[in-house]
Amino acid sequence: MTKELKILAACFAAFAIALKLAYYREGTLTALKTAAALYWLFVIPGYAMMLHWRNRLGLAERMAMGTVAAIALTGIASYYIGLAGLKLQNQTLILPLAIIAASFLAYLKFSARKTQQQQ
Amino acid sequence: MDREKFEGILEAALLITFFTAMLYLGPAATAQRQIMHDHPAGYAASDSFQHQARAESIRQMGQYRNEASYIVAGHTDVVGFYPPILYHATVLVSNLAGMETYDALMLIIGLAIALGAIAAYFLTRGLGRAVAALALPLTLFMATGKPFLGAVTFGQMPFMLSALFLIATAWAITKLSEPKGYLLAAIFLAGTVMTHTSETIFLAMLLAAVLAASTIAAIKKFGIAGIKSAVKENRQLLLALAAAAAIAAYFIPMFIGIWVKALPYRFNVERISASFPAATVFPTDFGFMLAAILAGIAATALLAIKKRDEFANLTKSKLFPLLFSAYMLIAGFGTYAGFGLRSFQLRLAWPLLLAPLAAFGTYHALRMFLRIGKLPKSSQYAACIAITLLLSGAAMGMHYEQPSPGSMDKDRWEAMNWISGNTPKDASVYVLYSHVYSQTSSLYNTQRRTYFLELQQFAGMLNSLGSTGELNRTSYVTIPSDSGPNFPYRTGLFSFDRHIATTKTSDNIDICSADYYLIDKAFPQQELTQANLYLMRLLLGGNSTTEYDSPSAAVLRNNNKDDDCIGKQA
Repeated sequence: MTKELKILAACFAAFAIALKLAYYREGTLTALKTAAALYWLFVIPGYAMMLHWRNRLGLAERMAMGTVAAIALTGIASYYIGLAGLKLQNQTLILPLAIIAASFLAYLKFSARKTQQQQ
Repeated sequence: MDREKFEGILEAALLITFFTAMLYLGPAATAQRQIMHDHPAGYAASDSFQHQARAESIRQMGQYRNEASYIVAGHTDVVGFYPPILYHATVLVSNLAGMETYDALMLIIGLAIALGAIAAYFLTRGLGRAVAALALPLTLFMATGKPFLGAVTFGQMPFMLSALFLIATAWAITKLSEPKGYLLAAIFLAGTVMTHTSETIFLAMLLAAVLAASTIAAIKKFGIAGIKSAVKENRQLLLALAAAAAIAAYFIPMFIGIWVKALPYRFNVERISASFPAATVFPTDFGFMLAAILAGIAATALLAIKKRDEFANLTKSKLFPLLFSAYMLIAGFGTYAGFGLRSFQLRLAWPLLLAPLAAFGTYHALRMFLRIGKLPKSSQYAACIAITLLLSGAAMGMHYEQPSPGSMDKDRWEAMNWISGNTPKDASVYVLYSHVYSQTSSLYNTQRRTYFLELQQFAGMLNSLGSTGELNRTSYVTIPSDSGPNFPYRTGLFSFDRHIATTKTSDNIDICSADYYLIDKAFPQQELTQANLYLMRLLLGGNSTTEYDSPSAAVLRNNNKDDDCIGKQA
């Protein structure tokens, strides 16, 4: 897991550089801020959501498809939570955190169950 | 370094390169190489402004229960009818990154395009890494200004994100045998439902065919008991469908009660899109890459014959990505079977959807003519990467077209912002003809009731002035509003009625009945500029005052409302 987190951090740098290269007239700080926002909203939650398939799929595949899954899930959850009364302005920190926490807990739970079954 | 690790590094480098290239050639070029702008960049038509204005209205409201009144002709109870995912994702990015919603929307669409290429790669990867690499050259077409990216910036934004979810659903279907694999398929499928639902319908037709093929095969084998066996065999897929329906349970009744009723299926044969004639995609738009697609069709047909036993369980077969791709090719020709705009839209994502076919075709051509099948695995992969880079360079060299930077500019944008920030909420704004504001959804950004004088009526007004010396004050104007779904409002939790019968989306309006005037001062044609400036002088002579002025646009306040607001001619 530590190794994957290091790769995740390296990918953040690669993503920020990709943004800066493509949008080269934009300031470095804005490119970094944008990369950080997208990472927090979609990439990290996507990575967490895909932890369940950690031993079945490669990291690159999990990160890419996890990001797509996180865009879908975040959009859906944000819509319903907004209708329930939590305004969008208050969701930017809570929503990704909730997805990350729920995914991580599910991963731990299923990993523990799997270990028990193996024993 | 072992082979697996070496190939893994090569793969990561390839994907990062293509991701960056897609952004660079497409979305970043549209955005003039900047993430943030002082006006919407890349927005080229009314529909794109409609999505931008809706995203901004949701940001301001903090949720999407109802449409903002200025988008739906003043109604305050029209239900938020559009699939919401794109808007919510946009607002979250906008809020967190501190950027305008128009920039966040374009950024998300850019990411959807670039991620679409990566998703197409992983969908193809079930056929092997080398084949998957060959899927990438075709995906680059998504970044070309005409017709692909151009159509997206013309307003096919929700479609683009939905196309990404569509490919991701196909990928997830190939992973259904993984533990809890159905969850991924459910999320992606629900994503298509709640982003742009027509893609769900196309996919549902394919899945229905897959399930039918599986059931028929099981019945042939086990008789009527085969139905039970088919259900068991496709349990994960059925679970995914049920979970997706549960996730989208609140939105699906809205889709059926609003969209299906407003836009029912009608048989019609269309060769060119009536809605987007300039953005109609034809297979020949792929140039020499069409040969790869055709080779892919032939190779898929041969493989399908060879592996016909696998039709009983297609979702577990390597055939699935290829059949999905071939199906999307056929679905794009649904324009000849009444699917009209929806099939034309599907064609816009052909560079992503047909990538598995093109990859398979190219791979088999390489095996046949260059004998790469005889190379060791690592060399085979490296050779395919080299061919991928060559094909990509050639395809973009021959077919790349710079995308449009859009129609809006800072002055005209600020004029609308001035109106939204400085006029009473119930003020009405009369907009003289403008080649920019003629994309009338852009006028939602005034957040006021607007009357837009179309070119024909504008010419009529000028003609009457020229012939009689009197300005004909009353003209037929457009009242910009999103009237497609007929202004639906709730009559129950899942029942709707419509305001359309009592709502005017165009009307005869007296120019002097407006509170404000929005006047474009700079046309490419000097005559139009002179005409608008002349009308502006008449309004100023009739006791209007200039409230906002810039080289391109001005806002006047009518101080003689419902009286004679036209001054004497010079």
